[in-house]
Amino acid sequence: MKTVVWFAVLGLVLLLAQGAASWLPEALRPDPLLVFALAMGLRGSSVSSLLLACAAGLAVDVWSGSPVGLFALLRTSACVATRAFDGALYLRAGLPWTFFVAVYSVFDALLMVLCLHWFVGDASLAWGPFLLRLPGAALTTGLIAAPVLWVYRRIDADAARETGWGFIASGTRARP
Amino acid sequence: MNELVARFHYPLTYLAIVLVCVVNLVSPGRSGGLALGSQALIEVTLPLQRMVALPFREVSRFYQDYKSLVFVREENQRLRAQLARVKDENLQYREAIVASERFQRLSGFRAGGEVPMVPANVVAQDLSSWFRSVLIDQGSTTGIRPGMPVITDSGVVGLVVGTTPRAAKILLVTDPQSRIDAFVQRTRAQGTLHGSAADLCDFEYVLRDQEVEAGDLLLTSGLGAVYPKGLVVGRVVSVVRRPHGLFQVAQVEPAVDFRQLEEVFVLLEQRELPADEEFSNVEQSLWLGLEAGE
Repeated sequence: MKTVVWFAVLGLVLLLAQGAASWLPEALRPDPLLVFALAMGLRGSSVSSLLLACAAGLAVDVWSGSPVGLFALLRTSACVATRAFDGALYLRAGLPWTFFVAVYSVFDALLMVLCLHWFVGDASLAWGPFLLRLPGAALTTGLIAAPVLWVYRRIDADAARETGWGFIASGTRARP
Repeated sequence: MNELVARFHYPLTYLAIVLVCVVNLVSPGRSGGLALGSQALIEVTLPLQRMVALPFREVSRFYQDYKSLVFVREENQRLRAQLARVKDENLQYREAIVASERFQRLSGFRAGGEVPMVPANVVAQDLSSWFRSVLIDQGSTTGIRPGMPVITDSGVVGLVVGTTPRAAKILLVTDPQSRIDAFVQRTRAQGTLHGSAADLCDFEYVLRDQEVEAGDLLLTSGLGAVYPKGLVVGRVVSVVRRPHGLFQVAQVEPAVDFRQLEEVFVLLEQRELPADEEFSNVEQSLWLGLEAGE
């Protein structure tokens, strides 16, 4: 439980960081809560991680003009995507993780457009500025991924050392 | 059964979340306010958000001030020329106003009372870079309700889409979900202003034969039952006339500079849309009238 609380605190800090980043130029604006949601996927089959990623998405929905549910859906999916690719891409190392986050942030933006098209229909983005903003946003999001991973590792390692919660929370259980 | 649930609890939770989100997304229209949980989140994080954003905001303001200084000489010359032209126009308008007042007195017209407004400060920008909304520091305790228009001295800012007791969320005119019925001041050509999450908006559904040019001023038409008539929305930057189709599209620069938006006014005038039954009654009477006319 303690680990989950620490991760929730990390999410809150990243929410505030995202709020502060909203004053930066759009082309260079990172998405710390996307990194958070992706990092939650590193905890394996933990439902609490999935819920935290969903909560991070809901927070973005509340704080932005997006239709409610859009970012909750995207962030939860991001968490699931990390879980799916974690083993194959070895995402716990800094470089693969940074690269994965940068690539996923582009995919996430395209997925958002698809979701808007499928589920909302009415909202249409200007493709020119949208595509121009993608590379810069992906780069800055990738850059902040490594420090977030470091904090994630610290929390997970502390939890594992003190109570063993890290293993339980990450879903690594011994089969009977 | 329990084992099955335990084994699939992760995919089941994911599917449940996806289902809830999709249902929320496809359900028509906005609920007209924020849910209790959303209100609580905004109320709790708003002061923290303000504190964190303050240094970034100040740095951004400093940079904008510096940028303005660089071009101040050229701008000064341009403004002097513009001032001379405006003075001349002003004289003509004064004449027109005097004439208009006289006509209004003659026709027994009585202007309505002033619309009450609440001043508010912008305290947070949209967290996502793909949408356009801001949070202001006045909420339902000052009488602000979803659906109220928000303006500045430059023009239309947007629409209140949700409130908490001490804050309100404003959907800006540049948001992809924003639609405003507007007309060109010079030619009265009517259309719909549509945000696109970029700096410029699209002025759509303008009939091809209507005259729209770069530099034309757009005003709200008052249709759509949200914005009062005659508020400045923006200025036409370019017009696209395709060789086919019924309509032409114009690119419009909003009158308000959203990058430097700090203070806004919320018009405490909420226009209610008639209920569906009233609509159908109106429609019915229209048809009846037409039939009677026949």
